[in-house]
Amino acid sequence: MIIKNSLKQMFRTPLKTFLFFCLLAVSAALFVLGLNISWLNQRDASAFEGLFNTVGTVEQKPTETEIDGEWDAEIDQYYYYSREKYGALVSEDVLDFEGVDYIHAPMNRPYFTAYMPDMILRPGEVTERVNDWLVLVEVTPLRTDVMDSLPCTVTRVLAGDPDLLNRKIWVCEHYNPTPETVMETGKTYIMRLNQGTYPHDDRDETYMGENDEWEYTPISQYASQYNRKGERINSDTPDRLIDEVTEGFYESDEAKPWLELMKESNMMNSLLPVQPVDATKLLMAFHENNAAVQDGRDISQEEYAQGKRVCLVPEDLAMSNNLQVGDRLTLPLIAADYGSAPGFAFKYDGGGGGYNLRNGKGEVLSVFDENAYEIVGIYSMAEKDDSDFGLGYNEIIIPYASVTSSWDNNIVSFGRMNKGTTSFQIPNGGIEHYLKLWEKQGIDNLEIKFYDNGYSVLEENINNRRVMSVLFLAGGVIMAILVLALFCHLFISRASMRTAIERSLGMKKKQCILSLLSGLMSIVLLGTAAGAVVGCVLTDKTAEQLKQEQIYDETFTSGGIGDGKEGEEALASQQQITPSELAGTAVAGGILILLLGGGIAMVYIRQNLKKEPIMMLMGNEE
Amino acid sequence: MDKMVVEQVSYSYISKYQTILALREVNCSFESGRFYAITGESGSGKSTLLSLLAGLDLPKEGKIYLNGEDLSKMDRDIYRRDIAAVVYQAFHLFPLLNALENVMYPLELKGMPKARAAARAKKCIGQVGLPEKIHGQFPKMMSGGEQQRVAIARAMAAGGKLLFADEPTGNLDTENEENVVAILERLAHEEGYMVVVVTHNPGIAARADVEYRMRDGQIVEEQKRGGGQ
Ligand SMILES: Nc1ncnc2c1ncn2[C@@H]1O[C@H](COP(=O)(O)OP(=O)(O)O)[C@@H](O)[C@H]1O
Ligand SMILES: [Mg+2]
Repeated sequence: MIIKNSLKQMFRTPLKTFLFFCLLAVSAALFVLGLNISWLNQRDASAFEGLFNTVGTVEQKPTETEIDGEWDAEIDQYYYYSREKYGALVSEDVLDFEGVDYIHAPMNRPYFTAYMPDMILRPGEVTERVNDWLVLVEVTPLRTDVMDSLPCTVTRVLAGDPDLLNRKIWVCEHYNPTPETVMETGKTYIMRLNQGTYPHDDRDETYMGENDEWEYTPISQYASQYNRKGERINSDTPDRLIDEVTEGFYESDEAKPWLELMKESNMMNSLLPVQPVDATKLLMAFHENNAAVQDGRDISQEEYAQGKRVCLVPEDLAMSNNLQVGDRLTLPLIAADYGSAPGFAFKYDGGGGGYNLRNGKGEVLSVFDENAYEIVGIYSMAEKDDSDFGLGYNEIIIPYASVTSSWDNNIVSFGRMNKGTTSFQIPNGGIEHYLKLWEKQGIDNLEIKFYDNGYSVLEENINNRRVMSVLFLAGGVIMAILVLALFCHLFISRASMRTAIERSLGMKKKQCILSLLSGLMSIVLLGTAAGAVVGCVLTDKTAEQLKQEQIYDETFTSGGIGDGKEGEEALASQQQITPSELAGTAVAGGILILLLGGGIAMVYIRQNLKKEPIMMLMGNEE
Repeated sequence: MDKMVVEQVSYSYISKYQTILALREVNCSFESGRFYAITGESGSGKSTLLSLLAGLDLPKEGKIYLNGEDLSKMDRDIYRRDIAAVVYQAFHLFPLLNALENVMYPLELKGMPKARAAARAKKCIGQVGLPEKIHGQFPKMMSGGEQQRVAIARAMAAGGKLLFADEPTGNLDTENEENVVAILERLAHEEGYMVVVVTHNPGIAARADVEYRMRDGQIVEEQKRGGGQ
């Protein structure tokens, strides 16, 4: 009865009540809209946070370029070219400056070389292999002369192309303007030859036919070794170009470096690169979605952190060796290379730099670490790419921390930090802050580039929406409070006489509260409900609007496999708000306004009830 | 048979700025079946005394007893709802309820079914001499006299046997005044109500069984006319 009377009285001021309803509906709509948008932001932000990685690459830039000349026998003159000079190697330590917050600190990563003679590394027809253009042979010259295009007969092939045996070839110190080493007829010499990429214009057809047009260049026993600081360790043994093979030569000390070279040459085609890293996404191929795990899973952050012996293997290698997820693979690691990304020496087309496997003394290195790794994932590449942003041929990926043996004595190459070897990860959205701090360091020969999959654009979008949602939220709340306060004044304070009369008729305080509250709150309920519905409709419209503004999806999904899809899905779901999600926030927002209304009303009602009715009722004034 | 005794009652209105002493050590008593008048100059404390009798507040000092029971120890909500009824000088009808709804209000509050409450309310409205067409009218549309009579009807309808009225005829013409006084007299003398009326009107005062004359918050004179049994 009290409720009925309360409602009855509410609806007997229809204009006031309707205005109250409308204003409340508007504020509830704003509030629910703001709530929905901020909720969407929250969801999107956390969903995207996991999909985006902000990775930086570091590259030491040249300090100057210098002109260098190299004798070219083919053109019979110096060949000049410009060469970039880098000066002293800059250590990654300079990036450990005050105020930076790394998820993965910059590291000039080495990659390792595994010697695996039992693996099929190049199935099917092989285009070109390291061994094919680097050979170790014994020759006898056809005349006594310096090696200024000296015709020789190959008398023995110690390593490399066996077809060379008994062939007549041109041997030329191609890069030496004044060749002085003389070979004598009747004697046999051992030498390492690089198959000439230079055609020999047949200067003297007396020795061979026009078929043998390639020229071979002898290369020294050169072997390189570095320490952890990147300093070259030189051996004191002579770096020989040729040696005469005499009776008992192979038992002599002079023969040792040649024998080691032979051993090395025969290992060349059984090498594959193993990349130790702290997170798959630090490898730009994965970060840029050119490579992705297709079978099994990625190595987890825990596995990376704990140095678990797990690995990712490339699809081709897995296929030709029948490797499956869950299999174990023993990786005998023999060398560490700090000079370049694996793709420099291990190319998809078979080319690439020759690989040095000998220490400063010219001895073939021995395996420094040999452990079984579980294959957890098999990856593939959208596009075979062995650049700095790609991966080496047959590259296996392992956690950096899983290699516990020291490779200090197995470092075969060292070089400046570059984008293929040095990367790091910072929290998403931290680029600006980072670069500001970096600029203060005043180091100008390092170039830092960031790759964030378009997170910055997204972040701006989300921030815009955050501001918008806060405005709506605040606007909605403030308006709701004002509207509630105004109408509580009208419906409660101005009705204090009514409370007094009710009290004088013997209504308990609780009944008086019910009498004031039920009518008011039913309007609040209706207004809020209507506003919430409108808010939901507006959310839909706003989301539609936002969708059109989104540019980052392009950036995010551009060219790639794997995670790109995930991103696309995330984007798609981000645009869609399911009705139940909408209802959830609408109900939550509505309840909030109801509570607000109830709270404000109670403050006013308490005021009404504080006075004894005598104060109100006595008095002659109408 | 109810008896109210007012014993050494003082009352003051306390506001932020001042304290107004409205009653000073008032002593008097009231019985069922009698018609009382409280007279005196404006501001002498008549309405205040009436309000205390109606239980709208408690005396600051002194006591009011109903049949020997201290009013301050009773449930005043029940006292107001079931025992005492008041007619105010300013009527104090619910502005957003029509005449019938106003009169039905205390009945429904007691839990009386709607139909019965309406029947009884209509009867009371008839008793104060108002036509049926008034039922649907809101206080704003009624004259002062009509409002006053609806207020009396509401007090009567409530059914408490103690009826307190503050200038109930102040806004009525002589004919209606006579009607109302007749009703009040009848309620006292025939239906056993205790009727206490604050009035300026010497004519009404003359018809009371007992008249209390007040000045400066005190009863200065008590006149019994012996009309009651
Ligand atoms: N609500 C009130 N607040 C403050 N003072 C009041 C109030 N009602 C009455 N008074 C004061 O109390 C005194 C007695 O008033 P009241 O009982 O209304 O006298 P009467 O009814 O005889 O005119 C007067 O001085 C009056 O001004
Ligand atoms: Mg008065």
